[in-house]
Amino acid sequence: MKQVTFLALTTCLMAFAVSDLRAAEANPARDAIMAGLGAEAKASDPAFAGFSPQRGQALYGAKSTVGKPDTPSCTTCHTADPTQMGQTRAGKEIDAMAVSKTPNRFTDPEKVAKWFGRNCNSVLGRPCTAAEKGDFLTYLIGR
Amino acid sequence: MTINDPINDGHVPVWDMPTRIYHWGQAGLVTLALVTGFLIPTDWLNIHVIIGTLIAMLLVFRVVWGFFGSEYARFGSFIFHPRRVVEHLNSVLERAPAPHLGHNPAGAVMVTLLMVVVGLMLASGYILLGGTYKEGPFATVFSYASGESAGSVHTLLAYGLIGLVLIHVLGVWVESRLSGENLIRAMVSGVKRQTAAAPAWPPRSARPLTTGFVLTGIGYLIAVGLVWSLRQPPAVPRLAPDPIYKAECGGCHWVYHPSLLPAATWRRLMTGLDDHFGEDASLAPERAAAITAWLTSHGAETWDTLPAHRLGTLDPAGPPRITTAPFWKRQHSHIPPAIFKSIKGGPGACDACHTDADSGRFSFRRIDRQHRLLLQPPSPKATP
Repeated sequence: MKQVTFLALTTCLMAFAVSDLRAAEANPARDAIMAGLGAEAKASDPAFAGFSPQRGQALYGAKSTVGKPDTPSCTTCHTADPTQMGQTRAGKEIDAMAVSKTPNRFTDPEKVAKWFGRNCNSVLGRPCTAAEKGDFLTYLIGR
Repeated sequence: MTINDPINDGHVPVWDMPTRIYHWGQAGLVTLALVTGFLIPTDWLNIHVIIGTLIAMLLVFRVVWGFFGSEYARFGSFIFHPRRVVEHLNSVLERAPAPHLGHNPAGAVMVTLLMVVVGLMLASGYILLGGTYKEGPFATVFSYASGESAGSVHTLLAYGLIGLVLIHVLGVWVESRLSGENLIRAMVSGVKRQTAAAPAWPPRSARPLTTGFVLTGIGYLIAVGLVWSLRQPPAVPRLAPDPIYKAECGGCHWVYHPSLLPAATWRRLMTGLDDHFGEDASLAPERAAAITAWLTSHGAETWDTLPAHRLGTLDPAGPPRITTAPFWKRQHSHIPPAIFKSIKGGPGACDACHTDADSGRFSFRRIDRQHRLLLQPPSPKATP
């Protein structure tokens, strides 16, 4: 009985170790999201030549006067430094946006779609383009 | 020494020590209860409840002492025929009241009235505490409506009590002037001048042992009652938040208890998620529908708590913001804005101070003052 428990524990630990290693490296779910955005960007603009972390960083820090007045920028809630924890206007903590700090960021397509849908409207007053989303994620994956 | 033995200079002991302690204790505590009841904001009301509980203990003792105390403490020594009361008042008007060692007939009526009114205030106070605030031994016994009715009675009696106390003090002053004996000092020293004939019956002495037994018995009954009240199910039934509601809404803000808004307001709020207090909080339609169904089936109408009854006064045409409800504003009007600024999430983060917010009860006894009073510097993350 003891041996079985030991084996089960070891297997669990090994599984965790492996999943942890994977998280630190490229994540297939995240890669799929990026690939989808890439294809979408290419479809809307044949001249599209890949995502840019610089454009993503600019978008992250930009101040908008068009969206809702309480949320002029991504930094309103996520702070200017994406490796820091953010905070919602109602006081709840938000995990750091940088993938280096929050390894499971941008791995759930539904979640990614939900928050781009909400926050592009809140901050920019319009939906984001696939190119903008891809730039944004590229910047944060690199942080 | 029996009670009417003159003490050398013609003074006799009248008010025994327990009666005097009761009198001045009651005078001080009732004054404090009136001041706190009328003046302090609701969130400090626990002080008032503690004072009331001390008064209840004093009054229970005094009632027992009225049967087993020494002569002039006994109720039997100050039961007078109504005619004697009228006679006495007439003699006061003629500036020649007959001397009495214990209570005179008018004074007897007054102390009886004071004890009855204080007793009724205690009863109505505990019903108010239980029914309206869902606290205390009657939290599971009385409804919000009963609590509110008891609250009206409690307030009316308080005005009545102020009137009685003023008349009582006036009466003591008039009697002192007319009799030439300082009755206030007599209630401190316990002795009065031997001016009146001793009662026709032999003066009875106190029976402290019997008093002790009776008080122990009453204490036991109260303890049984308290144990019973502690074993009751919670006065406000616990309702676990719907998992979808908790996950979606709780991601950004405190998981508001569904009792805080009426169903119609929840519905209105859920149909305007694209502009949710200044942000787009749109949800997948099926998830929004599930949350709406849960909130509207557990809205304010289905709860018997104070917030459920009072926050409903929210302007149906205005934004469904709880902090704009007149009741909310009134209850929080004395809290400095700096305290709200120090709270992550501001005044909408109810659970920052209300430790029972998740139950929907919002009792004044469950406020985390440590948090409220220790100003915390604003979070450096909240850069504009």
